[in-house]
Amino acid sequence: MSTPLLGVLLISGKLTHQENYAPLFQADPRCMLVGLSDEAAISPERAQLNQEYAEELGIPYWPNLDEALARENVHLVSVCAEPERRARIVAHCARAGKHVYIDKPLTPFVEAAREAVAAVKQAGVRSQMFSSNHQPWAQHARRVVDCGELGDLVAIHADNLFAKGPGGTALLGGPRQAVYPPIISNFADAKAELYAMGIYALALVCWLTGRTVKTVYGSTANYFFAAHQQHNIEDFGFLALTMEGGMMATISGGRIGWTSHGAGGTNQLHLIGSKGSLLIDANRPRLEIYAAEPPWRPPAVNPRDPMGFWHSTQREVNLQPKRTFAPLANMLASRSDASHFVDCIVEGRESEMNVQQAAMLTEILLAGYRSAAIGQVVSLDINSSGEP
Amino acid sequence: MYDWTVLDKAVSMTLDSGRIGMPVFVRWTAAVAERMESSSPQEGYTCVDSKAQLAAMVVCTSRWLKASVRRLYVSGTETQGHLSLTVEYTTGSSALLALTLAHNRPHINLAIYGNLGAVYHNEELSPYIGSLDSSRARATEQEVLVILEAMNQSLTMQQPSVLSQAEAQP
Repeated sequence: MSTPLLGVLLISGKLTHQENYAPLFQADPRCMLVGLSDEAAISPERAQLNQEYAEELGIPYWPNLDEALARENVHLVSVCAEPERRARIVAHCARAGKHVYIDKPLTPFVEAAREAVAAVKQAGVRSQMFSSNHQPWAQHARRVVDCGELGDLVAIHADNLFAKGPGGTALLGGPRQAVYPPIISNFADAKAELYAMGIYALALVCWLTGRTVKTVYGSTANYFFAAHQQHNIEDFGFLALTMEGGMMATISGGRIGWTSHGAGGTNQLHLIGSKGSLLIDANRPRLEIYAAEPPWRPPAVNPRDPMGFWHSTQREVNLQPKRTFAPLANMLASRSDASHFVDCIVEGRESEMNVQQAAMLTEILLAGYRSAAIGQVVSLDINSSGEP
Repeated sequence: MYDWTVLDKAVSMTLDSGRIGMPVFVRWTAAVAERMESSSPQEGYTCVDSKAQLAAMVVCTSRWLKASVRRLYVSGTETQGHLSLTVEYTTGSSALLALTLAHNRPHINLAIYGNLGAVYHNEELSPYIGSLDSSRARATEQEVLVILEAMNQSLTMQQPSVLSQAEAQP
């Protein structure tokens, strides 16, 4: 029996995306989960959730992060702390010489993003932020762009709208008054959705084009959920980008409610080239299945997680999968985003979604929020490697 | 120039039924623009009526959202064969519209999100789309001109063009 190559330390546990990432590392034969840790100054609730998840996984919970990072069997850290703490922890882990896998987005703070980039660079460790770039349909888009059959790319339109949460509760009738800096915190019942969901579409656009964003025009809205409105954070937003070489892009990101899509939500890319255009939809091609069975119903609201953010809480209310669409891509063998990161570490190469790219996406998102607040186009001055 | 009468009627009927609640966001990309040789050799090619077609899409979208345009922002060029438009409405609803080259395969990708559901239409265009009725055509023409003027202003300034003030925030 071969010895696992990489020991994985988890930062933060239940009710974070660690519920998604930890099983992926666990499934990779080159990895072994060795423990779970977090910063000392976390809330008792967070500590309890961390403890619970460690027990569930059968790994130790080490409440002292420095001691955990000092362990020789820790090679890689999966960082799923809340957005405000995330980049700080990434920098800390990098300084301890550990490779860092980062929940998305990296941070809502430009300075914290730059600190994380500098720490990773100085330490010479590998980094990767989670994205949808390694999903089969995104890889297909990459091949189409690279082979040149569409000619020169003129525009890209990308959407990532999650069909989750009990919609129809927001008060409608007037524009949202956006604030800058935006409120980016994970409440139990709301997240800033341009930030949390728009990042996927934005990451795809930047990855596929490799071009610098020159200007950003953004808008945020409260269309679906009273909870978001009460926290003064958006449930929907879009960005219009002009890019190096005159290319343009638009992205939308948000949470649109359980009943607004036949599957998990709108997840598509429209590639417009000088010779042709192509719409790539994560849910197409697909089988559509209609049967003499009860229609799909949204789950009961779990008060710990009304929006359906986390796997564990949705299991508690017996969330059933929607079964009308069966995308053919689900049948393709594909590697997880986590395994792609392990490839990068093992092969000694940079991830295309490293911390520098993640920091660049933070700057673009924040420019979008500023634009939404002032109602004007905002110029950006960052190069394609993500450096300001 | 394509007209959207049949699509407009089908969508309007669906929205009026209330099945998706109040429509709040429209994402509509129409690959219907045709290229022709430009009079200016430097420009090479331009697109036939692409701004007017996009303005007609705005008018349609405004009708679906039952709202007046508050501000719009255009990017792209007719020479490039692609125009993108963001539209924000006085009611807070919004739209991302784009007009692009058909490349001999005209098609549209349309999604209308309501606060309780959504409508999707992703199809190649059929020849039986229909014709404008004259009363709607007259009304549309004036609205298109207003939108066109705002679009030209936005393209010149490279900033959003403001058409009217927002309604009070809820």
